[in-house]
Amino acid sequence: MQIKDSFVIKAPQDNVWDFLFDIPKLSQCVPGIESVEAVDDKTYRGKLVLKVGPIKSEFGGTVTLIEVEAPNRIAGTVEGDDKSSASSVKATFTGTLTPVEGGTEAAFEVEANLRGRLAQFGGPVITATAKKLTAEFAKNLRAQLE
Amino acid sequence: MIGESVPMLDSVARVMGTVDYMINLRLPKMLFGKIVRSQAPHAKSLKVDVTNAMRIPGVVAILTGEDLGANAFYGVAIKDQGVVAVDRVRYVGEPIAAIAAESLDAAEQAAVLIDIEYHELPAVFDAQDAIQAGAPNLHEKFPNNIFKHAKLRHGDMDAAFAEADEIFEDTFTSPVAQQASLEPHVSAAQWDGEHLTIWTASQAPFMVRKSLSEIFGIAPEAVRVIVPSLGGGYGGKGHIRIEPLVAAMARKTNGRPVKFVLSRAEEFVTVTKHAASITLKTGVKRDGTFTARQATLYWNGGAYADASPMLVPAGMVRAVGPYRIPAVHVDSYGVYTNLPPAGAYRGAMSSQTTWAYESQMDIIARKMGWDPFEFRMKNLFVSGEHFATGEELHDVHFVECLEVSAKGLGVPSPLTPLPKGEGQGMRVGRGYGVMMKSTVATSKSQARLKLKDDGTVTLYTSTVEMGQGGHTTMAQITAETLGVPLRAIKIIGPDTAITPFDSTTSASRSTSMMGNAVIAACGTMKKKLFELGSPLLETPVDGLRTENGFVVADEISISFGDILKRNDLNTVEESGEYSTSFGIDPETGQGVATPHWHQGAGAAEVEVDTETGRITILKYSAAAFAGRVVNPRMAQLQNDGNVIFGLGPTLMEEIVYDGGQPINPNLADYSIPSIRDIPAELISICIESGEGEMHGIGEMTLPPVAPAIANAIEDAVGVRIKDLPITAEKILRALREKSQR
Repeated sequence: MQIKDSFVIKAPQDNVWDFLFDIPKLSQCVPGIESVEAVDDKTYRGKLVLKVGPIKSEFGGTVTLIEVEAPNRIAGTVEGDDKSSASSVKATFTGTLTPVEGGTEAAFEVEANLRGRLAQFGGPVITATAKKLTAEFAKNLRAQLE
Repeated sequence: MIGESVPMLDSVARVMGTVDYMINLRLPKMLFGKIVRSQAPHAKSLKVDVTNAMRIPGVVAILTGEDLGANAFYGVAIKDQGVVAVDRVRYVGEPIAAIAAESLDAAEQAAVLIDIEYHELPAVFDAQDAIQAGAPNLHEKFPNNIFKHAKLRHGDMDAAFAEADEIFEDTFTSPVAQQASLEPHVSAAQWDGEHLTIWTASQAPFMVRKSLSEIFGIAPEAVRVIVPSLGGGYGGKGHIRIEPLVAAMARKTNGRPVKFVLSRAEEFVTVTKHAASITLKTGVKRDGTFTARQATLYWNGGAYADASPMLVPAGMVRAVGPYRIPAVHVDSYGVYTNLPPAGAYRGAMSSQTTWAYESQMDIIARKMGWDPFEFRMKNLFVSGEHFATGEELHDVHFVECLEVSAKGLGVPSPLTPLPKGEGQGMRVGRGYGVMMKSTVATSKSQARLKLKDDGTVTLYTSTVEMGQGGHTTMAQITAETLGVPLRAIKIIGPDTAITPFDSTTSASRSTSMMGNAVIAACGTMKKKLFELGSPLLETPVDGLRTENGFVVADEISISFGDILKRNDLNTVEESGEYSTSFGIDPETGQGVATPHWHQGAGAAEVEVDTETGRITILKYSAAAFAGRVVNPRMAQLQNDGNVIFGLGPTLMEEIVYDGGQPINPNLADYSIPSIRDIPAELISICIESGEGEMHGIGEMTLPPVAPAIANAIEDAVGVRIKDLPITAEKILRALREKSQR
């Protein structure tokens, strides 16, 4: 499944980049994140609570950064699972920051392989949830940066 | 009685909601089952740890691969499927463990605590990818993933193609779909020592009995299979599915019964309709006749062979079509992939093959400048001709089927041009489809009748009632043949401990096969009654007949009940049997493929909105050859139901996978036809013949639906869709491509 989205933040690109790498601050902006810890400078472990339809899932997982090209581009992988909904996710992601008039455009692309009960909701529900979470994330980010 | 539209015997119970479906079954001390399934499409070195799950209060037992003996593999012809996975998983949704608990809650809590570890392997999901060199291999015994190659060889292909003026080659595809019966798979099992009783929603109780006796190493008689009314089957309950797992689970519960009810999402990973890719190369002459047809079929069998080793050869003979073609070669391949196992789907294999050959009929006709209706009429088989298997065709009525369905559209002649639609961008078109389908070549049905001294007749039959009206049909045949009122008849079955053998309730065979077994049983019962009644009526046996529960001589009569009483008998039991034994050579496909060829046709009138690609089926008219109709109303409902069912795979049904994970396994994202999808005008007609043989009609009007609609769409807007389902999006894309050309 592919999830693609972008939004504009009224802040200079460097500020946005620095903020994204300030893990404690960033994690406050990601809806559902309960904890994040850095394992090393490329690996983070965390817990995310997600509600899709009637199912509440608590994903434990690892984010590994594969490519970091400050202040423009990052790429990496996410692996996690949720026992209670018998679901798991493996994903690769790419995020880019591009200066635009009046701020910075943040764009991301995720190729996610979702399995188990959550996946059975079908593409439309998952994509809609992802859109909603992105909008919330953008709103939180703007509140911090603009 | 035969030929009368009596209401279904249980019609009141159906309307009142009091039919005892499996889902309502409650047994004393019954436990609830839950299956833990693979999330990986392909993995090895499977390790399952149940320690934490066993600690949940209420959990009684957990079944894993470690519990299984060497015989715990099953399949209709290739025993490749484990009762639960052993060491390896091959599709998302494959059972890895099962839990029996005091409550479903406890079972579900335990399910998340089962720790599963495996090493993932590369997976392959498409049949044609799976046969490429270097593709992931699923079963070592089949290194190229092909588990079945069925061949039909008839005539000299090179010479026949050389005679052709034009050669057409087209590929048609159908995606994976689901039978989607309203009732899911449900089974409950209980062991008493070495005796197993299983209550199950199955179309084939004796097949279930045989498989379970092999898996558990007990005599067939030690397995009792009880089948209540089914909430639909459509082939999805046609072989053996969850019964081995349910019985193996029950073996660990110290004699307590355990019941499993699958969720809708589980249904989608339990059995599917084969995805198929069918390439037809067909040679025609300018005079409108065929010279040759080469058909190559790839059936996506999923991870286990299941019933495919039988279905792939059936698909082979069902791929030729109802036309005289001097030279025919067919290669039909069953291929393993990392998808759930595929099985029979109403109109098995014909739904995919008719889509191919009837779509190509119109492609040929249009290119050659012939009318598609006339082209068909010119080439359709008639009785006495020979099919590509070498067998002579008897009692075939394809011409009438096509004519009658065309007439149902209400136009003076199928050749009358249509007004091309009203309103901006709306176009109307007309299309036809004809199908020819084999049934089970070798099968057997037995029936037993018990007459009591109160005049009541009990029919013991293993025909499964699944909403099709099979039991009502058998009651009508009994009433007519034995000469008793319908109200005196009671039906018992199926229960393998009580009711006699029947191969299966599928392939539209019951009315013909079980019907003839019932007729045979009625014959012996009548003979017995005449023998017993002859001295009482002081009339020789050949001067007697039966009527309304009486044996009648010229001027006097005596009731069946009184005959028994006067002979000091409480009951009389008589049996009947009917069987067919045909087959084709595995290397050449020559022989006799079926005791009877099923025949159906359809005609569609559709409207296409060229701005949106949206299709509306304005009229649909279907015809099936029935021989002799037992119950006209029920037959019509079957034929109508076939058309409505067929609209699903034609217009909307497709299981979508992402890395082997189905992402629409629910009836919100996977649409099936609803009342709103039914054509405004839907007609279906049964064609009868003077010979009066009864034939099944459970599928005949289904396979023509998809090609008839696709052909009508091309007639309307000039685009050809070759991949099912025909969505508005596909039509719109094709229209845009056409306008850019």
